[in-house]
Amino acid sequence: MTTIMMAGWVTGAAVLVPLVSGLMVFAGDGRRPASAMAWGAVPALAAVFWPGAARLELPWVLLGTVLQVDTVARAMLFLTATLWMVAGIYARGYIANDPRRRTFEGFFLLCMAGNVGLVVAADVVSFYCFFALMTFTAYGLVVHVRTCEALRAGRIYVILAVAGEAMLVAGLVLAAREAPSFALSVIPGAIAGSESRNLIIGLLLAGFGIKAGALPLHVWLPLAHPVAPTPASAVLSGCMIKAGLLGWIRFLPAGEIALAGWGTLVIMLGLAAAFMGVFLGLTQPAPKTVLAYSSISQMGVINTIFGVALAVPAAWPVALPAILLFAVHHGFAKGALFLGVGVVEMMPKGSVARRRALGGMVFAAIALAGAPLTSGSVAKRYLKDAAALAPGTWPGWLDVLIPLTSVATTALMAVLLMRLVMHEHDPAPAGHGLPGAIRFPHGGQDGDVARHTRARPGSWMIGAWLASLAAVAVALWTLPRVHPLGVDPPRFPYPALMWDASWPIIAGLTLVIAVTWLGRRGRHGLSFPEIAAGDVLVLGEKLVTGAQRVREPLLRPPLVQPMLVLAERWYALNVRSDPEDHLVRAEISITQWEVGAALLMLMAVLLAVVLAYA
Amino acid sequence: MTREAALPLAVIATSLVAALLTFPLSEHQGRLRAAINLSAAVLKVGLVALMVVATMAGAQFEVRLGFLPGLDLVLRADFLALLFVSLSAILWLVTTAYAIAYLRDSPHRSRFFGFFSLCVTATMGIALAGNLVTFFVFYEMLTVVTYPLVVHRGTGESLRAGRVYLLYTLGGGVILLLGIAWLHGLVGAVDFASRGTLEPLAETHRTSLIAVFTLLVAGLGVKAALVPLHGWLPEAMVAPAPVSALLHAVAVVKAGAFGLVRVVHDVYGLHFADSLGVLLPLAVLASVTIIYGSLRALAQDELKRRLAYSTISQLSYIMLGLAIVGPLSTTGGLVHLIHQGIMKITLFLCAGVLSETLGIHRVSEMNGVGRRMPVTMAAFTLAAFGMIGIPPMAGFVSKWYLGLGAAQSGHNWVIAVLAVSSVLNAMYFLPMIRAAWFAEAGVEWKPRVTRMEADSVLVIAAVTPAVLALLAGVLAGMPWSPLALARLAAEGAYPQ
Repeated sequence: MTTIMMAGWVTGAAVLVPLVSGLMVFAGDGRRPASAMAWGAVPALAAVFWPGAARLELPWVLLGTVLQVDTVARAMLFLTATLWMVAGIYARGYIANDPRRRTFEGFFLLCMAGNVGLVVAADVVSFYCFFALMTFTAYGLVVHVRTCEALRAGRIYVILAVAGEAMLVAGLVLAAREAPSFALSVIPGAIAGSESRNLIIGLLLAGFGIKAGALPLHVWLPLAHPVAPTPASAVLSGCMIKAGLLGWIRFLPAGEIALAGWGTLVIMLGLAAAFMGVFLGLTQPAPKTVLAYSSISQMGVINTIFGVALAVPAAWPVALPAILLFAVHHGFAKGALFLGVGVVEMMPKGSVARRRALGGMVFAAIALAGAPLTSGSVAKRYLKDAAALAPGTWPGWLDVLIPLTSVATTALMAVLLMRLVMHEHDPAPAGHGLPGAIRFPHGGQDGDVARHTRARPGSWMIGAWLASLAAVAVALWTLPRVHPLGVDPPRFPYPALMWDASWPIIAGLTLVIAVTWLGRRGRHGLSFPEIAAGDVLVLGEKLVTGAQRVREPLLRPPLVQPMLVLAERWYALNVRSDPEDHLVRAEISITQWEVGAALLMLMAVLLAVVLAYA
Repeated sequence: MTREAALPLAVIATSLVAALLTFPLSEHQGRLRAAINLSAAVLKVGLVALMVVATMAGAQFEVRLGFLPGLDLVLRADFLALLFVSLSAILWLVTTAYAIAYLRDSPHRSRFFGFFSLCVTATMGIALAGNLVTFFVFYEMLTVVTYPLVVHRGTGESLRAGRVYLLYTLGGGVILLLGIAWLHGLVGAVDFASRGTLEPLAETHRTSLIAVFTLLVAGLGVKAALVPLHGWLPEAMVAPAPVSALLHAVAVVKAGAFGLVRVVHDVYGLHFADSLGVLLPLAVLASVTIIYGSLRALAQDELKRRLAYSTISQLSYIMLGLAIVGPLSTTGGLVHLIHQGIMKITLFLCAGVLSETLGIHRVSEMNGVGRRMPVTMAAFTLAAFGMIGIPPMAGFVSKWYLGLGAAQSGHNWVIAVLAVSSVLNAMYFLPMIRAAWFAEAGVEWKPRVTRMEADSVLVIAAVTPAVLALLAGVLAGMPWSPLALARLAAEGAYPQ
């Protein structure tokens, strides 16, 4: 067997091992814990470091499957494999006494297979296939605890995911038709030359944007990411969120042609998300929801740079490595933060162990904020180089705004840590979910934490968390040295960089201290207005409830009435049959599908109109 | 008689003989009856496999029998026929095994299996028919022999459904006959031939040809359940589960769809039909049916009724692929002939297992059933994901080719229809799947009596087509996959 073939099959094993292990978990009796959760990502990690061009061609699978570890895949796979492995080890301990352990293990492994698969996929169909596998198995992780909130989050997640899948398949079909083959490498060029270019780009931006938590498609994310069991939250926010980004990188013609309009749109939405994510995060009482909003914010920063590259093709060679490095940095830092929250919350209040764990959290938090010498400062340096190439007057704006996102993130992380220190967050998060949501007696949002609070985190969890911190510490210093991404490896920082990286941190901390101090004097403590997680979605739900009360037939155009009857019947049949708390159902469930369905119908009509004229 | 002539006849005769042997049996000769029907089904799969292999190697199976003066009965095995014949033969074996277990203790089994075998005889005839008259003879035979199956239970409801069924299908048959007679008046006997035979009449009989096409579509559209001719299908689901499975997946609805393919490809010719301007209306009609069927399915609580409306919607993918001119969409439509069959039969067989074992007839009763019947529901889930069009299931391959074909021929609006349809499919399939796996059961399930979750034959029969649907998608690139066969069949419709 030649080396090339070997390398190819290592890539194949990266997908097959978690896939087969996951299926075996579901087929088995589940009496023993599935150790594959811990080592299932080992072949994927091996594929990252395997020398040579790892390419596996399986023309008889699907419509001709090609798996390949190219430059982009190597960086993403490094993050994906490491984080899934760390989270898997963590989950061994976290889930050990869970009555639904087997279900979690199965979905976790299948989801891992999907995530790894879409990273190494080199053709349209297998990319879409793995993307779908990840999307639908992630549902099992989101609703794992089966609480009312989890089921609601899952439902909203699926509604948006299905809408995303439909937009993706429409966009991919249109793109693939123009391309000489289904290979991913030829798709961006085909889109660039297509007549229906704008339509395809719009569909793909939105379809992948849902997964990436791009504004305004982010509404599912602050509900679904935190409600999942902690190790699942870590991979959802750490690497699954990057699948949407990877979709943009793989398909959109960034670097091929200048798309000034789309680029500007993406830049503006990215910047809006970067700041809105932080502001909405500040209003959240639950630590994991704060982290989810922070993910929206950080993805906004990455998306801004992607927008730059869409607008200016010449920026692509600089922007791509910057995006990849920032994605790796954010993935590790966010993973470590999620895992850390799980650890801290299990430690008894005021104990030494808790204080030590908080120390670890501080490290991950300042890395996320971009303090000097951390991965964040390295990633932001590359980001800055790319931002300088933005079109028009953007470089000047970005030069100010991107450091300001660091200020904002610092403030958000400081508030998060303060809450963890003081255990200030309301165990029954008032702003989280909706009135009447099930409240857990022992803090945290997922039911499991309640059970775990008495148990100390075991060695699986502590070990995995320490490993994730180690990844935060070393990843960005080593990755560009091991795999040339087309950028200079980071050198030990020079004074200018030190200052660049430290002033936003100082500013952010000053801001938080000032506000806290002022708040104390006013005897209100540090308080923010309460905005329910899911922000616009909840607003929309309220609007629809309001509109529903207006039963004036005058307000309803003729076709609407039968549609509403159909909708109500569908709702009664398909949605209401949940074993949910009656009060909650009355409060929230009535409205949520209608928002989703109204969105879907709107999108369907728009899609039809646009396609007809394209 | 040569092998080329004998094999098509043998394929039809196996089930005819089985029927003739089954009718005289008494009720309690269950083993003999099972043995006859199963061995006939197995034998037929073998014969069909033989025929496929030989045709791939270049053999041409054809037999011509005198029928009326100037009218021959012709049986011929081209790739299109093989597509339908292999689907029918395989699914018949599955359904026969299922039916034997399903009807173990019910009355009138000899009658049931007799007509069951006659039904496969008719379907084989439809598949292998080499001209319009042969097609029509078997098509009408199918109508008549399925009636006793639909009303098998003999209840007032089923008799009523049977009346509706006969009304629709016989009416469709009359219109079809009218169209065929008109065509015969114009050109004499019409043999099926690649790319059609009617083009020379384009100058002189344009209007007549369009009228005939309309009649043929209206006649065949009844069985193919095109809106507004679909009314019989949701009613006919009162039949026993194996009959529903067969009506929806292979026999009746597919006979209509297959007939339409024959008319467009082998009577008119794809390009000639296109130049007559009759294909765009057909595409619109198919699109309307796709959306309408899905919308109606959304609001059904009865499981089989929801599946019936889903069939109406899914069948029209075949017609859509037929009406969009382009090798990719033709392939997509033809391959959906097979894919829809194996996915829909899975869903109906699973529904039968649920009702037989736990008495579940409604969607609202499915909460938590996944824990009680994991294997059945896994099969159901796979098939439902296929229907939505999620890879790697077979349904994705169909939709991908249909979408590519639509884009290729500039009909971008078809992509919107496909996308909306996928969303609607998700809206009525995903809640069932969620209820089954993620909801708490409201009731105490009947305990297991055996080690299996239900009668093992029923479960295995339901799982088999689900596995086939998975393999048809995952291994679509294989040289013997349904996709490959559909590609070969589609090539025939285009000039070399």
